[in-house]
Amino acid sequence: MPKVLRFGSVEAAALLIYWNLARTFLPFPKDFIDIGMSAAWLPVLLSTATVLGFLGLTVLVLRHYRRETMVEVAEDLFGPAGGVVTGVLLTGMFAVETGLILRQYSEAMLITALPRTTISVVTGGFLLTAAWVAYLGLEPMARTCRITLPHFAGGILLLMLALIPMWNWQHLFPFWGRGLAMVPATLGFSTNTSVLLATLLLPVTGDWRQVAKAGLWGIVFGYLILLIVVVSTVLVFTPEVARQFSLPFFSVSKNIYVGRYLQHIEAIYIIIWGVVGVLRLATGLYAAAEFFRRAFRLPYYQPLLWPLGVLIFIISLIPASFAAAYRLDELLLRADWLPVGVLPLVLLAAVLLKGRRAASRAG
Amino acid sequence: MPVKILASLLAALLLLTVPGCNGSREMDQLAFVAALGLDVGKGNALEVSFAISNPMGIAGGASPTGGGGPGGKPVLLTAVAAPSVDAAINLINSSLTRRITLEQMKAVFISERLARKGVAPVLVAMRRYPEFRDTAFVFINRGRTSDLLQKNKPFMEDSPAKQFELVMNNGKLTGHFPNVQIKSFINALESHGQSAIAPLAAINPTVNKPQRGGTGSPGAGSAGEKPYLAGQVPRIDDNPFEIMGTAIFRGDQLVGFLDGESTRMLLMLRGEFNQAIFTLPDPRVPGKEIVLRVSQRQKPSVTVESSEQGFRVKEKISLEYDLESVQSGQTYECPSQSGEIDSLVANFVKQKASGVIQLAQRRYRSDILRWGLYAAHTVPTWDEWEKLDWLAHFPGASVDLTVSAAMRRPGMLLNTGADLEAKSKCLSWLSLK
Repeated sequence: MPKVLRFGSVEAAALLIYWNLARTFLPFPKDFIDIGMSAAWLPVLLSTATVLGFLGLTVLVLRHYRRETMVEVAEDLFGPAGGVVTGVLLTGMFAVETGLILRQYSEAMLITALPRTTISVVTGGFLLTAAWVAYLGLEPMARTCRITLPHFAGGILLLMLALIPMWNWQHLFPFWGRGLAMVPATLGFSTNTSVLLATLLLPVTGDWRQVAKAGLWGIVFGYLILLIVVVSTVLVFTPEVARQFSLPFFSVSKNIYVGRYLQHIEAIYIIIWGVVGVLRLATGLYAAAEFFRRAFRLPYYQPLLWPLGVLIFIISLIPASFAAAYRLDELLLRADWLPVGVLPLVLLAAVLLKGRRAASRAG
Repeated sequence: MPVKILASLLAALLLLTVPGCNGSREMDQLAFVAALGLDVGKGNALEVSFAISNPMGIAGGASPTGGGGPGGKPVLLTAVAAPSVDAAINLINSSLTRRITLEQMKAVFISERLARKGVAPVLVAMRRYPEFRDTAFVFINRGRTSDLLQKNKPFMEDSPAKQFELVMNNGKLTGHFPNVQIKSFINALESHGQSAIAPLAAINPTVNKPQRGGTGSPGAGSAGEKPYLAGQVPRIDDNPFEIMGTAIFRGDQLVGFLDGESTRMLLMLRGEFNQAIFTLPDPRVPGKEIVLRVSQRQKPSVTVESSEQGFRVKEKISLEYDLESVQSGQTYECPSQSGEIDSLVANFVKQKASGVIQLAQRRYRSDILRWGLYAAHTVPTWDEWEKLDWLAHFPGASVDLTVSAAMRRPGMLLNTGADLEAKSKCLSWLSLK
């Protein structure tokens, strides 16, 4: 049997922050600018609140159990088939998402730093590193996130601070941006798989309170960085220009110009970006393998890394282009309503129903 | 703990080694473009010029004017006709030993002819190119761009990249031309609420042919300074390259120019004026002048109100100034007398700035004043803002301009002049008699 892991909610929160941070380096911030225009900050806040709502829903399910993940909860409520279906659903979701993130990261790397390298080489390189990290296990990943987080968060903050002289607050007007039209558009992609990832941390962190705490910090801090990047991009560029960037964070970093001797510092960003990307991919691969292991009650997740890695590699090469991968990722975020929103809701309803029945039987 | 801090610092220092090479390209395989020139070519083609930094020339201390140093000229110019900038890079790459890169590009020069046709198809399209940097400065040049880059001989700088950066910094001290990076130029081009501007550059054909009466100082013998456009400044110099004035765009097309003096007013109205020397006629002694260092310490206060009658813009500019020179010896530094200069500066700026507003509204119909950014406050949502079409309302907006000026420092002198009468010695104990 695998050894029992334990780490604190800070490490768990750091892992979830990286999970959310990774998308900030991809076209994701552009979606918020596109939806909100001058009020791009509003969809970010709305999205944060929605994701916290999903976390609350999930925690409401978990608090009825001790150290079980969604797979065991589903198995308990709906029998072994329920557990298998839930596990396979979550494995598939994490594998597809990780594949699409892998492709976007690789494409972004080609655009910014390695223009003459073959995509499969970059994708393979990222995946092999991520697989090795995932093989080492959850604890090294979480602790690496915890150790590097202050440095990376500080680096990102420094990059953003260097942009302050270029900020123009007038770009935040009209104040309400696209108005009420922002609400349905934002809700459509306000799913966030970090909520489900948090459930995997439950057996490691102790109880549902630790998961709630880590999830809360992971989401709030991750989205705070997203908010800073989105607002900073709009303040430096106009909303009309900012919504066109394929890699908003990189584009805005390239504009840092503090004078003759302080410019071209986006190289710092590429390092942060690479490390966060590898950890995000490793976590995604681990989550896919771990949910599968739990669904079929297998003793180890490590043997699953190879087949799942190959699957993720293939998924990453399915989209014809960067734009196609980004578009598919957007569609996946909409489809994630099923595992992130509907699944906890169904499980919660079943838990409450089961509790009521048990109470009436006892009564 | 100190060991951890030291380790963190060392790790952070390692980051500085990263920008060395990327994409399997070594530094000695690349040709770094310092300035890019865009001009109208034959037919539909562009004439694209590349001013390429020659590290051998720079390191060898070659003379930029002659180019006979051990490493050759510090700048190599090459131009080609092509349908796009990317195609031009491709063509040049086929004849150069090194590969062209725009990663260190500091300036983009666009010819007046091309700018009048429209810059969006070229400039906006170029932004897809990953090497293209939005921090490069943009210039509109009179005459042919390749001529301008060829005749530019910065005799004090080896590196053309350094020249452009330093000259743009100087602009902040004179106010004679705006400091515009591609980023802000594109922002204005694509915005619903503002129009683009760019500094005007030219080769001065008379730079080594002094006019009758010599070069003189621009303001010598006149009341105030004379307005010039790039290419017109009377001077003797080894480098005929000069920047003076502003190119004004409506949409993506060049529609006109502002001279150096009007540019100062434009920058004050936009809140981008840093500081500059102003030479104004002495209000008390005709024929004498006072010299002031005027600065804008805070952004102007701008409000745009919407009513059934249309839009009303209220702008308040607050200036400060230091006395640099008083030819007449009048004691304007006295607190009781400085108000006279305050009014002189405020009235001068108000009059000139009103002229710039008139030009922008009536002649050019171009919101180079960026009032659209404030007009966006009058509507709650983006859809309403797009429907509003501010640029159509801009020419008809009524304007209420207020300018205030206050003296801060009298320079290195107090109680100037030959007048020993106690009454004028306001800062002397004698005046307390």
